[in-house]
Amino acid sequence: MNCAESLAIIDHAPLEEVRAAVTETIDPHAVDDVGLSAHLRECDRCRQSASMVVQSHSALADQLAASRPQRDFGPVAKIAQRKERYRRGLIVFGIPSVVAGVVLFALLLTKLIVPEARRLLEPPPEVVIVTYPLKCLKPEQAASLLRPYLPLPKNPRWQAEAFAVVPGEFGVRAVTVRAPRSTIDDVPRLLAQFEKDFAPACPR
Amino acid sequence: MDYGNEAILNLQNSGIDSLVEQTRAGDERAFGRLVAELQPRVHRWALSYSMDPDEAEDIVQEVFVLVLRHLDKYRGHAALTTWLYRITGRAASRLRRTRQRRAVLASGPRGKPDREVYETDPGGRVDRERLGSLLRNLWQNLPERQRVVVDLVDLQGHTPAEAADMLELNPSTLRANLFKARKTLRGQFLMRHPDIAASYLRGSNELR
Repeated sequence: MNCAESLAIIDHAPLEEVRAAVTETIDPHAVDDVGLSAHLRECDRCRQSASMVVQSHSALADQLAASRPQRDFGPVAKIAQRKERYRRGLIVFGIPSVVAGVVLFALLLTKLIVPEARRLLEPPPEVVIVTYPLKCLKPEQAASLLRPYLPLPKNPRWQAEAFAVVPGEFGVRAVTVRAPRSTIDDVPRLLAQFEKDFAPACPR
Repeated sequence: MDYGNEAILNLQNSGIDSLVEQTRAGDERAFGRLVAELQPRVHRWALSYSMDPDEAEDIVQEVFVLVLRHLDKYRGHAALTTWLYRITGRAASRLRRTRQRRAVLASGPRGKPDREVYETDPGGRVDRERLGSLLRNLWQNLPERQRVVVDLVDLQGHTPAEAADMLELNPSTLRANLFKARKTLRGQFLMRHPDIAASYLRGSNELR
């Protein structure tokens, strides 16, 4: 074995083999070890290299083993226990609380928020304008009797001012109603009823 | 062989087992004693994962948080050493991910120029501690996996099979990492020596 071969073994052989070769406590069956050991006996430089490799590893192992944790075990254990208690507390109380919160929120969403949102998003009803001639009632009388039947605006987007009853002017005996279709459909029946009910008060 | 540390001791002795059982039963004092027993070993392992002593302390803390959390799951099928080592590795990875940094080991002889080790001792008869420091500098610069593998096998004295088990690595992957790490580490180590470097370089060329 020459120096190059010896260094190649020192380079990557298990530390135990290098150590054994240096200390000459070799396994007689390990050919490399025998060769290395024989070479190390003859070559000072290679022996020095092998010895330094072994010593440096041993010294590094000692250095690392000598490094002691700075934190005392007491605080380490206490912190670990506190964190674990907190985690368990979170599991026992936190998760049910979150679940309850989610359920509550879902209920709130379905019972209050969703209907309200739907109402707000509902498109305004179709507004129809119809003028009804009057037989008996004066336009002002008819208007004041019809006004309570107009729907209240449920949604700001509906434009409440769109619903109105306008009495005829300049002696026109009529009333104009501007309201959603459903209300308009009901107006003839209401007017007929009012005119019939107030017939005795009608001017002859 | 004395590896200069007690990490290779089998932790599954009756004392530790009893502490584990008591901790499982909720005995906080037993957990304190368990931490006192295991902390130096875990710290030693943490140092090979992190080059920063402060970070190593944080890894130790995280390991015991995880130990307490998962002690119920530890069934004793694997050696406590192996189980604990795996937790240390995971804690180190987790901490590294959150911190996204890799600090250098600030303590010890780090920072000295590598050549100084030899230059202050022209005869090349450098003392053992200095050799250790030089090797430490080189070891710290290895990629993490190689560093950990060298630590387990060459510094702590585990067999490659044990190390593969502890690191949850394929044995052939471990051997490949070990080979690369040794070659890098020892190659660089020998190259630092003015006299040896010459013959080392000559040897490397001859082998080519």
